[in-house]
Amino acid sequence: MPITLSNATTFSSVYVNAGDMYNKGVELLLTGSPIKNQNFGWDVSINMAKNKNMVTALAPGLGTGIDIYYNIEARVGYPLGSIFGSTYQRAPNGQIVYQTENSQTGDSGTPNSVIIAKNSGDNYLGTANPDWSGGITNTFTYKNFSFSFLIDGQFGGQVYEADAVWTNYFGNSKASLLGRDGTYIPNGVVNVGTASNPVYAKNTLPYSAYIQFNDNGNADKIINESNVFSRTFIKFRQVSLGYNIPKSILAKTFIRSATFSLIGRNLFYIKKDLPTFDPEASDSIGNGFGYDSGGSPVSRTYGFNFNINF
Amino acid sequence: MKNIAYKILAFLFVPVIITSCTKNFASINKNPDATTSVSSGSLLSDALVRTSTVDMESRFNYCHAFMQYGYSSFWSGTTYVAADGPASSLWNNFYTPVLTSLDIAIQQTQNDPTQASTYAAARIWRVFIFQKLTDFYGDVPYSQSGLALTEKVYTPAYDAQSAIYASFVTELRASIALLAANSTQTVQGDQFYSGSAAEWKKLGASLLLKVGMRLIKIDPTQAASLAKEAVTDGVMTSNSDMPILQHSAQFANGIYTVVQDGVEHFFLDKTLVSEMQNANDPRLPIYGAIYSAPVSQGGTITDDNPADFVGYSFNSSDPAPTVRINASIFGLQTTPFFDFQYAEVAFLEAEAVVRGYITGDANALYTSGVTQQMQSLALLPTSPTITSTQISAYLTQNPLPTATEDQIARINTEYWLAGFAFDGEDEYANWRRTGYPVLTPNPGSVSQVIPRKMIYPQTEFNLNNANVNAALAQYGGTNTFNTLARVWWDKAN
Repeated sequence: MPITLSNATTFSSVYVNAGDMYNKGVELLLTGSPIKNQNFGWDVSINMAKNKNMVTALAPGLGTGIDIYYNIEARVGYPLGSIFGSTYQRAPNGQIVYQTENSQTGDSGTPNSVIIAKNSGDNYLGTANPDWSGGITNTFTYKNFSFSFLIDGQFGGQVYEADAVWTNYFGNSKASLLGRDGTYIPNGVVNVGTASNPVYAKNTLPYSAYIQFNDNGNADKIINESNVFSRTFIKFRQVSLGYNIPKSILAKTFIRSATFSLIGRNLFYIKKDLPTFDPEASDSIGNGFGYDSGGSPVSRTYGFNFNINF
Repeated sequence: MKNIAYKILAFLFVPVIITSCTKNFASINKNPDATTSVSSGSLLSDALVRTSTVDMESRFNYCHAFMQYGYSSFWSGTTYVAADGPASSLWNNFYTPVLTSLDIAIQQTQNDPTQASTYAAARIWRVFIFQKLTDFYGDVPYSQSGLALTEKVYTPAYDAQSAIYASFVTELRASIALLAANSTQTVQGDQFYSGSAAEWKKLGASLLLKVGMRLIKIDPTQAASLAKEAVTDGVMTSNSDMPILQHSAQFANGIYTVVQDGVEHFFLDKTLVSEMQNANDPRLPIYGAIYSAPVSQGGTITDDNPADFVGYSFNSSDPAPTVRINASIFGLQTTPFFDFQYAEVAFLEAEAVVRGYITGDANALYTSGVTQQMQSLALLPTSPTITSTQISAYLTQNPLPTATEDQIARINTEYWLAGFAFDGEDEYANWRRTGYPVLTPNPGSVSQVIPRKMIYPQTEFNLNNANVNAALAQYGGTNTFNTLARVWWDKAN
């Protein structure tokens, strides 16, 4: 991979074998025919896959971690393409810490609202790699008709939703509605002590989504952790209905067999954790995997097939 | 349902896959169709052209603002605010691609006696570029720069400026000797002198004079001996010895980009305009003109009478500026670039005489510098000609004074007037070296002090952090304009 160099080397980047990693995985395929007789058949096919990836070493000079795409990093001890960034501040008892703000940047005077306090730094927030993925295909045949459908899904794995950053920033998202009327007082704590010697007291001020997400045109109070979502989903991937034109009809023609089928793909999610956006969208399947800033969602398609054998 | 048959076929695959990259990465990645060698002449030529085609944000945004040549509302330099973009452009453009090409040219020619003059020319130009870098930033990567390919140095250490200057002297001496010994050998890829080794030798000696005269505060003894050595070697003696880069639409003069960039079609500063108006300087209507709007917005010259010019004033109650840099002379793609003016050499030499470093006629050198600087402007687009009558009238009104300190002030004020547009970064160094012209800092700035060392590029803190922080320790420990941020030769009194 190319590593950016200091211009003082008189070169801009160098291609290096950036490090070592391992992949350990299992793939499983089970197929069976629970019912099979002259007129009716039922075939089932189940597949499952699990892969574990880990960066074990990086080239000298790269330190312990390197950004490969925005806040997607290759870091020793973590899977390649893990998400890093700022997190919520939390009190020792796990409660979220809020910080007080004035309603507008630059205002002086008594704080009148709160936002979630940011714990900046490079904290591990997740990886795009799923814990496991799999699918199940069922095919039913009755006389000349066949019907099949595929349901698949993946479990575990995260995505950094830059789409969420900007829909929140522009106030177009559901998340940015919370507290917009100034009446939502979040159940958390504020630090009334000092940074090094914190004393936590219950928060009494209303939450301001505007300062959190936009702050007069400044996105720096947005916390990375709030934009990391689970990619877990179960999807009704494909359905098809087919009809084999009977041989008796074709017997006197030059056509040996003919099949007509209707197909629909990517029909709907049975379940998905990610709000609004498509958990399968990503900037790329390379270094940008796990970072979605306006990646195209997978499109739903309908079609028909007409197969003729001569 | 009795015919129901259960058939379960199970295929169980449990492969464990462990992969790693090949050890022969470099040979696999080699493109068999790619060119693997470039002629040294092409590389030297590339470096010379790109010295003045690159982004000139540092030279204008900072140096022209600091030296009170001009003002743009876009420039951070007017209020002495540190901004990474304009601060880093000189660094980024000189290290890559200019030094990249020079380093490879030097490697290719160093053991080839048939290319000795090309080797010497490339080394001279490397000193020329590195002097601009170290004068601007202080300590910079020098001895470990350019070793990424051969020795895999990806995080080059910073060299002390004193060591860099010592190396300049060694490099220039060796190059001058090589050129003297190979005086008939053509310099390949020469963009200035059609390959003349003799002219390159003059350029090398002139650079040695400039390097030596930088040391007047830190090491006057060495300054004197280097000035003497350079003059003995033979410096430039007229405009015909000047390195001038002829630009084209394809390889446009970098000033063009600045002037075309909206508000960066900058106003002249009141300091410059007043000085030139009071001195009846015939160069003023060449340097500036009153425009209806910036040229990028279709502005045209509405008034070229220098008496009407109003420069930018720090005092906001003064009238608004009207005079911008003359874009039809300095801001064309095809405007030739004066890399190193003969006038600078004449003024350095005159100052060396005044300081007693060398013997000579300071007045003759001063007169020659002013005269030929004014005449050199005729080489620019529209051939603006200053007559010999105008020149002698100017010299009569602005003669070399008699007292030593006044002479140094006068000579370096002329140095400043000569550096407009083409050599802001060199003038910035010359001003720090001599203190002339005396400039009043912008009273509207927070620090009210003209910075004396540029901040390091932010990318160094990401990519070469330990080394840049080690260098920064002597400059106050922070990457800011602060009172401790002065380069080595700029010794505080």
